[in-house]
Amino acid sequence: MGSKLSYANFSVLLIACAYLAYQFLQDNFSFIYVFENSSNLLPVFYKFSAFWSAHEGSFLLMILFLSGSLAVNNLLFWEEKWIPISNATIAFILFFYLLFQIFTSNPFLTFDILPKNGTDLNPLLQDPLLAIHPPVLFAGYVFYAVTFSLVIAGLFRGFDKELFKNLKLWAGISWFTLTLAILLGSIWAYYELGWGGYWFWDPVENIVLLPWLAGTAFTHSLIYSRNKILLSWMVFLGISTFLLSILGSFIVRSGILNSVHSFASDPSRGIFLLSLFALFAFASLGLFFSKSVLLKSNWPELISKQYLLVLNNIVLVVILLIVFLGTLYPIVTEVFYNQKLSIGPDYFSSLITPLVFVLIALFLAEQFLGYLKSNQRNTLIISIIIASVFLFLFISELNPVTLGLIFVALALIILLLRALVEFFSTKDIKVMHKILGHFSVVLLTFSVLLNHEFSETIDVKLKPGDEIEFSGATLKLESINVEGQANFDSVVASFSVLESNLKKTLVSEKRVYKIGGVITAETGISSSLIKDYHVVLGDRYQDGSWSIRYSINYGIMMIWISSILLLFAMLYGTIRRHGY
Amino acid sequence: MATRIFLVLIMAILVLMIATFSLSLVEKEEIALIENQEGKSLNIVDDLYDIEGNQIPLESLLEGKVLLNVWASWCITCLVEHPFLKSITQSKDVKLIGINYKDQSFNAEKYLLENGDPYIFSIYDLSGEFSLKLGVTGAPETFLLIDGVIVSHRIGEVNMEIWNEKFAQYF
Repeated sequence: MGSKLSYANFSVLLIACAYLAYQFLQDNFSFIYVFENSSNLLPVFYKFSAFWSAHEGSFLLMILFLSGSLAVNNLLFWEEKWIPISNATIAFILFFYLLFQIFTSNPFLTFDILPKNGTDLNPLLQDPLLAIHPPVLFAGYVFYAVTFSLVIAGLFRGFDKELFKNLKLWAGISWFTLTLAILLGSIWAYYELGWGGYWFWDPVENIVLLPWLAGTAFTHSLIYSRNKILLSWMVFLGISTFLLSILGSFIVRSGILNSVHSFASDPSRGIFLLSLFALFAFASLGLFFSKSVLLKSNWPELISKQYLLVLNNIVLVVILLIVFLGTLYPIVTEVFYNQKLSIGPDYFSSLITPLVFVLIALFLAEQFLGYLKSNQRNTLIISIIIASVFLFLFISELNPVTLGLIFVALALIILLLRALVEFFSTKDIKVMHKILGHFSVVLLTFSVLLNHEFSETIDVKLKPGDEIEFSGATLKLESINVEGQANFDSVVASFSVLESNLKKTLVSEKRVYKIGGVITAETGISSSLIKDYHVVLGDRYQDGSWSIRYSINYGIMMIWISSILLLFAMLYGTIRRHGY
Repeated sequence: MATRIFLVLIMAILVLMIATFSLSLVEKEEIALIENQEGKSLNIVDDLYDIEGNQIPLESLLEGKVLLNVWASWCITCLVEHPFLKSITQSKDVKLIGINYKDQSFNAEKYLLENGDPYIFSIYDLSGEFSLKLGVTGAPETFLLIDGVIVSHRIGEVNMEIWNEKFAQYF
């Protein structure tokens, strides 16, 4: 019976979504939501993705995903002991989300009159990457709700082998999905926003990072939880991850933080979501503390993999707290001191970078755990001391970033060598996903440092035909043309970059959208493994020259590659464990 | 014991957080009020043109009672209030001047052709600069000027109710 109801719920929501999508495709502008987010000039693909381009539709999609995962759970795990409580938990969440949707964010409201055309989809959102970024993000949030429901089930029924297996599966899927969403958003920011970066420590980015960090700690804490190590800690992280994702919804959708991502705010939405957050927070944490006596946890012994894992969790939670404070502190100052404040990237990068180094040091320590335990310990400690002294002699010559780069590169080589040694001595790598995952995190750190240290930007004024020498390469503005498309007109600037006889062409555009007259810039990017040439077309001057922002960004491609490797590791780790 | 301290700590953080957020929601509502421009006087620096490109004599804006209505062909609420504006110009002696806000001129002309033109003329404000100086935050907005001073300002749709409340006393 229960499983049938979950299918019915999913089917009904699917019909509702299909109905709304149909109105978008039919250009039925008598629907206020369609009118506000679409127009008849929009390409069909974007008419469809406009469905989730604003608050109402995106929330409906999130509910659809939640209902979908409920149905999948019932389909696959109907026999499991944990399913009744998991179902009840998800149904509880679903109920309040639907109330919220119906009473504060109904996408099916209509006008009495039929407008001839809509006000168009926000041009920044007219990008293939951004069309898929929101659904993936919502899926990530929603999957953590399922993980949460399993944790709650464990609190009532006890954590057994089966529950751990499914918990690891859902935690892995959620983690993978959320990471993918963050990567997609990051790629979009780099290619579409034209600010020349991939991560801005923008409040809404941070808000997504919070559940991700908690989820990362959670997934790691699950590894040894079957041996009852840190069981209650694992449960606490599972609950926190879900709560942070609701908190994220509240902050983004109530508009209390100003950001490129903010939806138009409506006070009643904020009040509802905040109440929802309070309800879930007190209910789940209350339950956690009342039941935590039953969760017998063991403390791991010193110098063991489990102990390293505890350290890893501590570092991740400290990073989480740093991001949490930095993101929410502006709200506090606005409320209590009536001051608008925004916390810059320096706060985050200067505090988090050392902690990332600590994480990498933990990866390395794990490699030498055997030596640390054996009687060769003294040899190892002595060699580390010698290496440190050796490095210290050069410290005065090197700046901290270079030192960091050397450290990370060293870590990269050590991890790679260890994996190779293991592979050639045993013809197999035991925990492939872990090694690959840790390797890609180190590679990611290396690329980010590279980008931070070597990237350069200048603002120049060029006429068609003009050239400029910058950082060993010549940039030439080849031509400027005006082109027309269905829903926008654009000024297209062609550039060429000449470096050691290698010529690359870049095209940057400035688009004027026909409805509402919004102007956007399309960046011109030419990528290679090591560096990107990045050109943004600015304003035209009276004398016919154009202002141009020209940057050389290092390591961007490596950042994408390492993130994709990380995703592979997560996916493989999740699938492998289940033998599918 | 450790659990109890942890419990108190976590709950205290939660309560503080929720209290702060609630306060920020309340604050936000106050900030969200858009500033009304009543009492300010019109200050025109640049030349103004109508949709067809004719220059507009400034006296027409600065003398007597002038009802300024911000509209655009892409603005749905403007379409909603359009019949009311037509009826008010027909039934009362109202000098209604439009401000065509961030609109393409051919769309604007088509809009007036299809829905009727109650305006004496419409100031063509493609960039939105003139409207910005006036204090416009979006379309539609309606201003009543008496000798160049804003005496009444409506942000949003004008209908019979709003008219009686904000404008009728001057006519």
